[in-house]
Amino acid sequence: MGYNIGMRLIEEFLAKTGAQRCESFRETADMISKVGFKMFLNTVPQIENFSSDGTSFSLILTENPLAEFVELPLTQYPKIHKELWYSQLYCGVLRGALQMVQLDTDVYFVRDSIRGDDKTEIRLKLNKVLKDEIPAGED
Amino acid sequence: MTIYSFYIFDRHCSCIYSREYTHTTPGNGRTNVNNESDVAKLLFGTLYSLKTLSLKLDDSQSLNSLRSFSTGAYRVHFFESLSNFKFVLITDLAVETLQTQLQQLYGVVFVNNVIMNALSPVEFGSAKITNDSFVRLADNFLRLLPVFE
Repeated sequence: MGYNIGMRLIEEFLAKTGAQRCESFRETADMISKVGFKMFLNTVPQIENFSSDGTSFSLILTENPLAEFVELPLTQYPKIHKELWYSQLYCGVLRGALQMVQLDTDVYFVRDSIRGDDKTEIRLKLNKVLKDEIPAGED
Repeated sequence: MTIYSFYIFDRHCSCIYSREYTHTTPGNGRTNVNNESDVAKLLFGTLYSLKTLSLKLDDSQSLNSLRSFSTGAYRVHFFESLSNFKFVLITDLAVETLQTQLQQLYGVVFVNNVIMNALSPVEFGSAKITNDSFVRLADNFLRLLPVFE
């Protein structure tokens, strides 16, 4: 969910910022939080828990514009609190946008404060840097 | 100074827009007739190889990109967005550089009329840009450049 939004959003991001290619995933992380989130959602998530090989990190959202006035209903179905990631949209958007700049990533929620967790945490993991496609039938 | 033609290639190496300008006859030139032609394919191949080779000559791995190349008869101006859309303008030799103009063409005309247009795809497949407002605004943009005569 959100993948197609990300595909388009990245073009707007590139056009408005005129950003150049990041040289490391750390730089990408800064770009996402300080420029991307700032520009589209006016919030700057913190970057934490960078893995030692530099291929995964967490975004901690101190405020979440998507869930600002949202409460999960207390129902008899315990699934809502266990399986629903209300702001799942972010994951798709980030994955779509990064894919368009040749970064193949996995993005998933770890914690979400509207579920009662202490923080909202999104984990980004870089799988590989994609190569340019070459025309079919050529080597 | 003259602009002869304009091409856009997408991430999957296909030509999604081609535009030729005529300067002698009062006609408007042709739009999207050359997408499948050898001209478009050769142009893509040349740029692709030239880009790869020329970046290998520089081992500093810093930010570097192919901008243009010229022959005795024409100059090819090249701009590639980070999302791998390639914009190519073919002009005569008198035109020195069109980098900022190509960037504007991408950032203003292309993004506003193709990417932000919900009716237009972003993964083109075998489709082309046939969107009237893009064609009109891109034409206007290029015609108003001092190098377009």
